[in-house]
Amino acid sequence: MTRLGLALLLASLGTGAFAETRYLPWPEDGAAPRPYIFTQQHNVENRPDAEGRVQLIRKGYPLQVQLPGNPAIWSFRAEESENVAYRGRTMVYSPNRIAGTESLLVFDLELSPEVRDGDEGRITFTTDQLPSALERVVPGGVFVLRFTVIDPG
Amino acid sequence: MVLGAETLAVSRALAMPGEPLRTLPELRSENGRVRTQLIVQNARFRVGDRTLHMPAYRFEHMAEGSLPGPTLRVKPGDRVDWDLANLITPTGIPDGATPAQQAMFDQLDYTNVHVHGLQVSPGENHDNVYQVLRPFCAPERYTYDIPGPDTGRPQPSGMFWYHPHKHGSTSHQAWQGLSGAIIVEGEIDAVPEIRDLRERVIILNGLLVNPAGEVPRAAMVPNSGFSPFSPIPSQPTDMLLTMNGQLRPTIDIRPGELQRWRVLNAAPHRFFWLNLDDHDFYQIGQDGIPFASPRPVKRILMAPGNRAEFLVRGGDPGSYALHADIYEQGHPGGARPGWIIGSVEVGGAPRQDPMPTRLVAPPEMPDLPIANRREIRFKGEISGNDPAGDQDASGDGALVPVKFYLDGKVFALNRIDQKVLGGTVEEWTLINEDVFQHPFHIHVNPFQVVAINGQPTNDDTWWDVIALPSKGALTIRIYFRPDVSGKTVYHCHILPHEDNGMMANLFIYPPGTDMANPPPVPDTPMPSGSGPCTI
Ligand SMILES: [Cu+2]
Repeated sequence: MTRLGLALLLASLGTGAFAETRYLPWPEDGAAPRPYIFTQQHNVENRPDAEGRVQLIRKGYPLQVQLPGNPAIWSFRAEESENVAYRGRTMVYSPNRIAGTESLLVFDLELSPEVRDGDEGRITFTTDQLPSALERVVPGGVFVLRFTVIDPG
Repeated sequence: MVLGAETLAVSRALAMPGEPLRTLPELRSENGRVRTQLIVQNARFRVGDRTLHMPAYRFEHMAEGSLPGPTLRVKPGDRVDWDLANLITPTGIPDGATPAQQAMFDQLDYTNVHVHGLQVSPGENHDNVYQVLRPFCAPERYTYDIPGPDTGRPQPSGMFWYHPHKHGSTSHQAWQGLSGAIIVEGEIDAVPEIRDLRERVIILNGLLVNPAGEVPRAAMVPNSGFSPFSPIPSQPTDMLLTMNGQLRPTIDIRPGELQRWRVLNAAPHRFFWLNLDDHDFYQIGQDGIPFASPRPVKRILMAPGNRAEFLVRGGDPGSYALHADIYEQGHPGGARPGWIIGSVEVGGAPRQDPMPTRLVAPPEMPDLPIANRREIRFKGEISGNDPAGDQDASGDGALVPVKFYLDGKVFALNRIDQKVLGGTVEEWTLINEDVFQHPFHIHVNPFQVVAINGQPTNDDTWWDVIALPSKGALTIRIYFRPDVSGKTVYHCHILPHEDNGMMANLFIYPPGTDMANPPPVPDTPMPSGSGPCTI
């Protein structure tokens, strides 16, 4: 990816023009669906360069948020989240990858069972001890992912 | 099945066991020449229980594309001419992407082709990795004069390969399986114990696909889990580890039979630590360069881009698993999980094929003084916290998801990072500041490893890709053959690292150049235009 390509991506992702689009179903082939995974790079909160970024989530897929931590911990903020249910946390050893962190905190989530096509939602995690290596990508230690549910099936 | 302790999920890519390993289509040179088109065009492939939709290579005479691409067989001294035709149409588009957003990733469909390990000119219309071919534009001619005996240093006989090398698109296209073998036949093929053995050309791919069976057309970030990368915006992805485009194929062999396997790791990121239950490997070549005698080994580690050629002797009748063992390559979230990639079925009438004791005389390192010593530093940044630019970049610009540096810098098309003189021997110390075991690759000339962390290795193996130790250093010795000059590259062969900056330019001057005052290197023109050409 060129720097220009990336800058363009981050500057202009998302215009909300998805409403009229038709989505083709994905073939399932009878196997367990893989998760949508979100990392610190997916954060949109207080990120002018990520404003308007669109995340569509198909019904029926699990969700994961993976954030670098240890010693910092990240907490799910139910009151600042919408249309998602929290399904637990794992700490995965991942030393010497990102300064000031020893692990990845891997959170399992899923869409609330009652969500329908077109519903909007939000996932929020926060930390009180943001590693300095993340201070621009997750400003203030607040991670937010906004999404819209689609149900092509 | 064997799964890594830190595996968070099991691949859904379960096998259809029992399918015999397929033989890839081949094209062979005749009377010292090959002339064809190398066409890249979208196709659909059944892999396990899924249908994949991705671009695939074919030669002009083939009706359909092949995943992975067809094999080219040549000899030292041959001339290869192919016209690369790019007929790629977009796949993997994120849900909700507007036409403007889609256009930002047009370059993921631009391509070119590199002949990895061939000691040929990197110049215009040769092995030129600066070429940018947009979809449906006029095909681009590539000509390769493979060094013959008349050069005094013929191309070694072994396994080489071709793959796309358009900076920014290499990982995307490798995750699509775009790769093919180049077999150079020569001296080692005349060894009596090897000449008549059954041969397997095996390409290992790591296909990163979404539930539609397409590679996401988006920026990618590393994550923990079986599938090691996630796109922005996210799509669910799976990682399919295939042999010749198949999940868990079987290889038949008779008890006591010797088979000759030529294995290529064409995956852009995954190391394959190969291990066959109850069988040893007798390695006869590394990265296309044959050994003096077979070396028995229990396991072979293949970084992305490596080739290993070895003999396997069928054991007692039965079925044996071929593993890619769990391997900690430095990816965030821990080791890449172990996985069974295929099986070997031993059966039929026993044989007793003799094991060769002597192979060929490998190329020698010329006995020349070390003309220059250099240091190259490898460092990556995967926090997503940095703006575009080199390691010291600052300011309020848009953040980039990941950045990878050589000597603190990301790739720049017209910055010449190293100037070397053809016909000389140099020693380069490759210093890894990361836990990622960045595999170093340099075009045109292979090298030997003379020291690890400053301690001598006493190993005369030639390589063209080698994984650096975590937070350690390798010293390599490299001979720049005098008859090939021009501008080319060295880079990390974890292709998402290369695409995100970990590549640099090398200029090889012809012998006789005054290196105290070398002539300036003309700029490579910036590619012009965008999107597909109109049909
Ligand atoms: Cu690397």
